[in-house]
Amino acid sequence: MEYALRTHGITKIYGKRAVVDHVSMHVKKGDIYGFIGKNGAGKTTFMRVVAGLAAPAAGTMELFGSGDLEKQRQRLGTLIEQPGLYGAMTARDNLEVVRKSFGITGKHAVDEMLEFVGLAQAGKKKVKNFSMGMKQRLGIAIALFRSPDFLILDEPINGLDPEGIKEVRDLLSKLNRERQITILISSHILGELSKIATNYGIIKEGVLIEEFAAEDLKSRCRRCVKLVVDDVQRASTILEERCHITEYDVPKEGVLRVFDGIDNSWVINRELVEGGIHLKESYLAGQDLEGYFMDLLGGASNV
Amino acid sequence: MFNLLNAEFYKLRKSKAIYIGVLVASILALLLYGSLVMIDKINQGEVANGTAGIIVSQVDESVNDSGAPKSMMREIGIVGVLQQMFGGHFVGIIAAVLVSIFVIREFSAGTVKNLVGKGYTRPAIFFAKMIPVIILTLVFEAVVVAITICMGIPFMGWQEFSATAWGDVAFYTGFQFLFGAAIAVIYMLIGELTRNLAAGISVSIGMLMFSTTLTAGLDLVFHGLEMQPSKYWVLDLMSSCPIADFETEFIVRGVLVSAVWLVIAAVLGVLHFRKADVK
Repeated sequence: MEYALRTHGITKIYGKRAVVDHVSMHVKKGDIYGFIGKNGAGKTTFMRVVAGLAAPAAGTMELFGSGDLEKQRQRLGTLIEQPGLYGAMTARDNLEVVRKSFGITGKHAVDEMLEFVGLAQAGKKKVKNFSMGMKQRLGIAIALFRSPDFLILDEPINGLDPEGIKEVRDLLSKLNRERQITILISSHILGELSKIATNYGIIKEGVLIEEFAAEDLKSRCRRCVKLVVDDVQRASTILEERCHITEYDVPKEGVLRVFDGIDNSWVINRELVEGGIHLKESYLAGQDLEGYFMDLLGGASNV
Repeated sequence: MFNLLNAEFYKLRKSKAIYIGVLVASILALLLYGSLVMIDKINQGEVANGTAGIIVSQVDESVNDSGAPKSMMREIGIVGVLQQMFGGHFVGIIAAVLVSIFVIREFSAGTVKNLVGKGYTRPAIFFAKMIPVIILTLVFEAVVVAITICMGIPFMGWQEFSATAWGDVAFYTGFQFLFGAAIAVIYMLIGELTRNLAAGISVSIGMLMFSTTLTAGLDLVFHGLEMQPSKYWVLDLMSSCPIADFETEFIVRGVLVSAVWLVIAAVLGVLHFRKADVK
């Protein structure tokens, strides 16, 4: 399997606090990897380490299977935190600086990119007078300017209106589909992320707690009865023998998720109790994406 | 590296700050000449002492060989005004602001992120900034010299202008370029360390205003050891640079001290930029 990014135990410490704590991330080539976590969870810091803006305290990483990061980072396009723009210049001048910095020949490249991100009409308007959405789009244009193979985007749809969000989403899908650009993207707008992401990574307090594919997410969000019991083994037997239920799983110790017969969940509860199971909790679960992430991250604030 | 330099010079051309800096320097030169005119008028009794806030503590009523009242303006001459512009740190202060804006905005606007980790080494990025910073300072100084000289014609008169020792002016200007280059890199180092426009400008101007006082204090401290640290501080050299009769010792010391400070500031800047995180 070819990876665009593979990290091993990346750690970044500020003061005495590990802001990124032994993160081992796997982003396959061609993935759109949704990176999720609360504010201050370490998403931006991790992205900055990958982009070479910050040095890790520990850990190693490979980009496109190579440890020669200096060279491989030339294949990156990044938009981390606020886009780096010269406020007193126009969008064209900003792109012209980038074009000259990287020795890209042909001024038409600037016009094409402005057209591509929908800023061709921005004209002589200075960037300091741009809306947040226009700035984000110009930031994306800068990230895309050198035709990168791997885009790292930190909250790229922040501050965009619904139309702008859709435009960026369509743009990213198009880049991934048509140019096979791998994308690592963080966003607070989970509903939007779920429309394009093929894989997810969840970071909490600097620790990458889970990585999974979008297909897994669907099954994890499936409607079910969640049972918290003292003896999973015996409860499973009762489910199968007395309730004739086969569609269930054990996501973690002491917890069962039953996908079958959930409209008659009272029957399940009765059989378990009569079978001598200590049923601590029984409830209908069936989450949307946000609910699932809230559960994982342990709270509703600032996801 | 060439691409980076190309982009940096493009940014310089697009920057309004340099034009504003030149305008401010022109106004300062004009004020200097204006002050000299006022002093002459006060000395000659044409206007009262204290007019326009200019107070001459010791009115000079002496006359020259032809019996006319002595003119302070003519005594100081164009080179003297230049010396005021540089030695009084008028040029240094504006250069500090220009360099700070040019360097620190890369951090405050986050544009440095567009380069770091994109195939260029950090020293290459630093040097690609340092070279235009030096050129910016030298061009600014050259413009100030040109403006000061040109303004001298209407104030001094063509006769005085023609009598100026242009060789000395050229030598003096050359030395100020040399010191200016070193100071520009020191400003850049301050910008790299502070990465905050207000802090960078404040520290740079603070250094200009107070470092010569500090070195004077150090001279006193080391007096017993027959050491004079101020002789090796580039800002002291800038202030004390003679306008005529340049001695070999000063020339050699000036060149060496400027070169050493330039290299020290550049090395420290690169070392910090290599290690420090970019936000």
